[in-house]
Amino acid sequence: MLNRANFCSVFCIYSIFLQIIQLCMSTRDGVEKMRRHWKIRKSNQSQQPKQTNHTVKTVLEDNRSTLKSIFKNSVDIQFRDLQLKDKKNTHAFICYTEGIVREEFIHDNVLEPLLGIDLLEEKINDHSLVSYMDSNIIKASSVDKTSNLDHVIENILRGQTAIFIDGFDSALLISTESYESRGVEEPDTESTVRGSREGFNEVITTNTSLIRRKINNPHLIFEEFIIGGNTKTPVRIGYIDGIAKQETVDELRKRLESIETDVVLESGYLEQYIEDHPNSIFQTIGNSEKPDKVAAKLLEGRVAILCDGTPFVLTVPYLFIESMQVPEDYYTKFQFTSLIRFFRMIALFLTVATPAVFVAAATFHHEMVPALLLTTMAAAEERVPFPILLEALIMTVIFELLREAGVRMPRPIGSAVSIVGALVIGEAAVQAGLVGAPMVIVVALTAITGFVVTAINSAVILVRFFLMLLAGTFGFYGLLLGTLFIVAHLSSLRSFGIPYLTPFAPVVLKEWRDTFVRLPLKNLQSKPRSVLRKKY
Amino acid sequence: MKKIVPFFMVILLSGCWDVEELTEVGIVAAMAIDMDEQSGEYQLTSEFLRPSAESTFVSSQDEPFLTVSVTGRSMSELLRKTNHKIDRKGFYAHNKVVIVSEEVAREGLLPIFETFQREQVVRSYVWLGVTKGTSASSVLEKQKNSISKVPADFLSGLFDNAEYEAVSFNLLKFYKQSLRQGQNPVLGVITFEQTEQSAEPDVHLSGGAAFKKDKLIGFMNNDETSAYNWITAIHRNSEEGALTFPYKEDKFITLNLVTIKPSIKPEVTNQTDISFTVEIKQQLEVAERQELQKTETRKELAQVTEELEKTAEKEVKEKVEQVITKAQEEFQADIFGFGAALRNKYPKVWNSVKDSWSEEFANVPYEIKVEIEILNTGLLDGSLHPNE
Repeated sequence: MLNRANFCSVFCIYSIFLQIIQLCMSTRDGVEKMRRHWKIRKSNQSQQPKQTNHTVKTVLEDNRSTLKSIFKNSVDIQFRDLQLKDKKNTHAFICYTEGIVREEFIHDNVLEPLLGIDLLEEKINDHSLVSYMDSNIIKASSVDKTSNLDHVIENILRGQTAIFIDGFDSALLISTESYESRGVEEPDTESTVRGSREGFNEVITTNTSLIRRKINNPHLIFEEFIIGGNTKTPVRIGYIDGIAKQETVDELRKRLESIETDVVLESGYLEQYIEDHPNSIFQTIGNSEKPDKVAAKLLEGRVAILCDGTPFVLTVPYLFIESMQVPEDYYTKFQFTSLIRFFRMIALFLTVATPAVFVAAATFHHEMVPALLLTTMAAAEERVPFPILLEALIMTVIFELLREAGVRMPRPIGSAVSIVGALVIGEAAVQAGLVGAPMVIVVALTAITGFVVTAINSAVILVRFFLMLLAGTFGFYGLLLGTLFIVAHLSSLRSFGIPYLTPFAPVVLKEWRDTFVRLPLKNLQSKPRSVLRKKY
Repeated sequence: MKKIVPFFMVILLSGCWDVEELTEVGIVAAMAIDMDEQSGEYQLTSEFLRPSAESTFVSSQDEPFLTVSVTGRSMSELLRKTNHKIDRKGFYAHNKVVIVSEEVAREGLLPIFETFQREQVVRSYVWLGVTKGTSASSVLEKQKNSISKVPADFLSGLFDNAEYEAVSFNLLKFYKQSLRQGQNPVLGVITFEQTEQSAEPDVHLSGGAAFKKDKLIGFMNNDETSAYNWITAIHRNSEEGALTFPYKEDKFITLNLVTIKPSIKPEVTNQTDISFTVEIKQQLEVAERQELQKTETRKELAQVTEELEKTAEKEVKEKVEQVITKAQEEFQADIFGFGAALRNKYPKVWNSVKDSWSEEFANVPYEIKVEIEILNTGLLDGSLHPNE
């Protein structure tokens, strides 16, 4: 029974909501705002140690003492002295980091030829000794001559071996890198029934090669950036020249270059530095562990960001619809894929809204529930002491706890959690009188549908709680406002200049061929250009 | 913060004003309205559901419903008084049937239904029924023939399954027809019928209760109600039913109704002479022939069919004539919508007669045209017949 005062209060709430929505909408010029955001971030001075410009000295002992003082006798830095067989019996030493070089390789291809050769016989004059060594003695694929000691130090720490020779003001850097890494295994996060089982690993060169092997195209280009004052993490961007939009690549380069940080341990660090909307709960940068998925995105005109030390490769621009797409969609028949897409969309709505709809219907809108169901719902609630909103919160929180426990705990005790979980979110909870039986179904449905859309799980969980609280306080009216707010926010987002909800808002009808349904592959051709290259 | 603080203020300061937990509401499934004979006050009997008796976890010995009766002068007073007598707040949105007694119906129904529409307490599609020869509250008791545990479900089942010998009339239609010019409502009638086999009487939904605006003026029997449904065909039950009549040597034949298309055509001659033509087009199919006659040829079958159509037309025409005569002479109420048809076609003529339409209607000449078509004869052309 509505009276006038209530109408007034409802109207006030509505106008406040509209204002909030407007505030959100005002962030529409996302790129500009984000640029400002970076400038602020840029001013944060990084803590990296100051480097003086060292150069390689002519006197061997000078170089040695400089290195020793810099490395402070760190045990994993190895020095080895040599004496060459030439006129002056020139002294030399090599320096490398143990564990990240192949010692047999150094022995066979550097030490043995260097010490075995009789330089007197070869008639090498003193001045050309280094270049002769470079081209004739050392058997390695890459030898680099440099006189910058800082450069030498950086590369020693990357696994190269440096040779210093008395009387020369440059050092030779030989690539001898070799370190333990995980093999190319099937990724745990994105499992498929059909399709490639390869997954990226932690080594950036392996990851690059995995992509390169999928795309045999000279226009596939990788560029390297070194980011992080202390970690000096190699970061590579990959794109296909001519398919990827040049503005996107330029923008990405600019953003990567503007990162000023000491630490990059995972691509997630990069993601948070370069994303368009750091305050939004929705991710505007995609990630994947699967080379076939990343290759497909490159071929669609996206740009990949590989980061050393993580199997997760980022792709930009990232649109909302991509969270509904999986590689398998393109490997199976299109009719089936279209059906599954449809189910995924339903799953998204269910996992976000089911608890909220249930709470709203059971506390405010009894007339919307079929009479018979209402009776059984009421019967189930009869012995429960809590309001339905609290019940829903209890159950969803317990479920999130279980999920988190399942992810974090050591594998061997996994079964223990599932047993306890089944008890907690199950009949035991109902019989204990903590929750009603329908709530168990609601939470179970929410959980199952949540696993269908794992790509945007983090945002979904937050939205679910948000809508549940609104539904518990304003009923369907609050649910509607909440949904309106979320949709308004989503349509204000952009990923590298492209509206997040493309092709739904703005409507690009031609691109709907790969959204709710997937048309046959021949109709998907010429796919990349339109959406990703269009200017908005 | 500037965005978050007002958001939480809105939620925490203003929400929940109309929150009603499931354990606070008492779901009312049926209502019965009687008239207290001594005081002349209304008596409302509400049937509340008892959800715990329906629990799937704990089986209960309790009946799944309970009834509460209160007396008072107005409907909203009755609704409030009901809340005083039961530990849950009445929730009427899932109400299925409203039954009124004959006495209440004769007093007029709109005064008591007014609040339903004003406050939107009861949905407009609840079934309406009038009891004949019994109190309304007695219908809400558990009936012998009820498969449903709750009498309200039993009653709404009767209305759902009704054929053209009864009337399924809901609240919305009652509002429409009782407030409309040129038509009067007819409600379903619930009666107790004593049979010889058992001591307890059976509850029936059959026949119709004719109203003049919102006041009951008389009852119609099954045949008259059928004819009423054929003329109007506005209810969901109008198109369901079968016609059984004698055909050859005390054997019976049954024709199922497939479709029905009635129309009332007004005609005005000399500005004031109003007459009506009632046209009824029915399509039927043969459901049963008892006479076991052998049909040899297609030609014979056609003859038989034609013969059947003629007989059925006669049957229908007789009944229609009977009910129009009853409405004109006994009720003097236009339950068929003659007035509405006239108003649509001749608004000016209607304006001149609308104030005295009841009297006009009682004397208006009419003509009945019945057209019956037998669509098919089921899977048998002729009928089963033993070979000699």
